[in-house]
Amino acid sequence: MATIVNGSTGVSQVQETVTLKVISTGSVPSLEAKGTSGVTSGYLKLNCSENSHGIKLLGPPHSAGADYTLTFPNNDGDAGQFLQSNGSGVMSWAAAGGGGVTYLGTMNTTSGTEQQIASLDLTDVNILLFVYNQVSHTSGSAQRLTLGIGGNTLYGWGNTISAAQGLAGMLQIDLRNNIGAWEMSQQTPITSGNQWASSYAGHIIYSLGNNLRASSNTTVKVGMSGATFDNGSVNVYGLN
Amino acid sequence: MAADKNTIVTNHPDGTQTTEVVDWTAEELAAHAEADAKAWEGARQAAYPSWQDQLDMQYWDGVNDTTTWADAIAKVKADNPKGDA
Repeated sequence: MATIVNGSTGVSQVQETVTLKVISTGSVPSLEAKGTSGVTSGYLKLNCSENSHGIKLLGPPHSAGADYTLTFPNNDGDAGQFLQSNGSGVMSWAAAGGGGVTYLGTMNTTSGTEQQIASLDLTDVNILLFVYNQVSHTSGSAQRLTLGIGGNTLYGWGNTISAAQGLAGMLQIDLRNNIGAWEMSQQTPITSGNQWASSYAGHIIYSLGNNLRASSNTTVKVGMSGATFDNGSVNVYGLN
Repeated sequence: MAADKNTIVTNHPDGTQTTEVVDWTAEELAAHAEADAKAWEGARQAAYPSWQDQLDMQYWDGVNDTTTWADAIAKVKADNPKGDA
């Protein structure tokens, strides 16, 4: 091993083939990446195998006055987890925090009497949101909507929809208390340009009969009093 | 009127879609019958003029001593009688 010692300041250069194993003590680090005044904070560089690329672990700037220790977790965590701090620099693995909207799927209401999405994981969902996009049917008489979540079906909610009309709007259900509300418009489907239609609103108490947030395999479905769909779609989102 | 059979289109997580045709359950048939029995309500709701138009009709009926509003409402009711699905 060829080691060059620069006087009393310590090691200034180590031969590239050398593997270093250095010891930390209770008060002295094994390695200290020192900064250069007015230029850069200290950093470590981790190269690729060909030494043509590398990343740097860079300390905070002098102005931050940072003196802290980050302690890594005891294991490598689970898939999708993030590092979190306990506020004292001790890190652990944790699931992603709440918030955000998850797209759960689309039901194209152009055929069938019922459209459903299977195998939904609602365990992290607080609010289930259905967005109706000009949904219509072929029945000769006006029909009301059907909604099914987890095998429980609510028949005949909302305003009746005639075959000539399209239904557009939203239905949201709070899965923590099974209460929902809807805002819909029912007009002749808008097919071009920028148009608007009047709307209706109401609320729903949905007797689920079970805790859907405990299920990772739930089916949701929509229908229209058994009439056959012929236009539109329903997108389903989960608000976490 | 409800379709003769329930055609259930299922959208699966892998993007595939399956279709199943089954008989309506007794609960579903009862719901459909109830919906059909009230279909006249929806037909009337769709046929009535907007409330803005109705207020306008009533105003001009008062000014002109006409019955445009009452005639319009009566026509909707006559065209969509109770109990006529």
